[in-house]
Amino acid sequence: MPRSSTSRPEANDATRDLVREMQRHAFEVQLPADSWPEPPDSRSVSPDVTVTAITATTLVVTGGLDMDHFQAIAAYLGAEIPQARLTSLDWAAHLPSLERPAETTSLGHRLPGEPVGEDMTDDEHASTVVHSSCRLAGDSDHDAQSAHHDAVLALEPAPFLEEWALIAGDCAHNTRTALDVFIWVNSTELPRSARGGVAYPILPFDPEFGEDDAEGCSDRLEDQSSSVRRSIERKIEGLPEPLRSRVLDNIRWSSLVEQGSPIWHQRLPLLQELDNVDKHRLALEVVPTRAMTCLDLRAWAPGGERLKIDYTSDVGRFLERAPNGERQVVASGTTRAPIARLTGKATQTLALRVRTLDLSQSLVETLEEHIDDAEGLLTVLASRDPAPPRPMNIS
Amino acid sequence: MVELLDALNIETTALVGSSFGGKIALEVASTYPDRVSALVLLCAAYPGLTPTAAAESFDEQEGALLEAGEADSAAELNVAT
Repeated sequence: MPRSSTSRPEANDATRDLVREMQRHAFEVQLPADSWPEPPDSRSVSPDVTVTAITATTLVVTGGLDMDHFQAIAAYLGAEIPQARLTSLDWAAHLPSLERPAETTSLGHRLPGEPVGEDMTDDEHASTVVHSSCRLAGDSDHDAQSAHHDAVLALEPAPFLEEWALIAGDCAHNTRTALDVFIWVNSTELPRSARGGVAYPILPFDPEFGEDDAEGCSDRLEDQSSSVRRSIERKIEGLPEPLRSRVLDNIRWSSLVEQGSPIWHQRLPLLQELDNVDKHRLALEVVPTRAMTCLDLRAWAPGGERLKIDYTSDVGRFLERAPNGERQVVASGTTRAPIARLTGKATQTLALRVRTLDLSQSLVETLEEHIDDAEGLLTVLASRDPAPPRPMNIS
Repeated sequence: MVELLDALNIETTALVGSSFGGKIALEVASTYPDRVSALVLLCAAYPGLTPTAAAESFDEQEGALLEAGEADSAAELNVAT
């Protein structure tokens, strides 16, 4: 089944054979059934799904390599089902139960009220920690098994559904979805009934954005006949006015577009790349004041001690009042992989990402000085002062 | 589903749904919330969101192959995607 990523899922040939056989069988059964008469029992008709009516404790699982549509569904369900928690398996495509059966089965044990699986301690079960795998490209010490539980995302129940969606989107390594939700939440207090009218991700990944031509990108966004503009409009066409215009305005005026050039066209491919490749990303901050979007870093020191390199709170305490009274949402993940063990290239990648998404030019310059000096980089990051949100001119 | 639970004399149950099965699990859990105590959705389908361009394109290709009676090719498309 579908996935959309440049990464490869872990399915081996045997797994693929299973899928092929299952799917062929399904078609053989389904195709003749299309010509069967409708059964007389009306209960056989699919009922409408009102997800807010679900009272069950729910675990929504999404695959980081699955098709974008299914990731968007998971973000939506995680936000809308009242007792839902969302977890992303970055190794999984569409059929995690075939890809890693044992691990997928053990996920259900993490639901409150379910029996504690043998693979978990009571402590683990008592906590709200959701494990997600996180492998570091370029980190040869990490084989698939040992890296398996190296990333720990602590997900506390969110006080507000919208923020939860934001967190979930990010923790799912789906930065673009997080941004989409950010735009979405910012657009208005949408009635629930209107929320199904958007296809995520709203922001398209378009090679045009990769060109070094900031003005051209703005123009494409404004040009109603451009592929970028049409792609965005198609994805939000289910929204009634004036909500649709507000979403468009939010994209137009978001920090991606607004904070001077060249921003928009550089950041979007980067976010796409984060989605698929960057498991070094340790945290993303999104401040729904439209003030900024930035990357923040957390890491584990070589001795296993956790370093806090950010300006906010522990993982999971993501909703806070910023000092200036603005609402601030922090989404984050952690990894135990010491930065010192990252290869030079990976370190460089980290710094590059800070530069492209970050706000503090002085930090970037300092990082560049230490680009090949992991220890120095750690020191710099650990001593970093919080950077205040930069206001934007929003009409 | 509910008739099956009735026949088996099961009052409440945990449901696990994968892909299209996730949609069915959603239907049961939202229509009969009292019957479902826990829900695990693996890459679930859900009809309420507009398909993305990639999903639409996949559906079109699969539909065209099935229309042409090429179930093997359609299965292959699922494996490759």
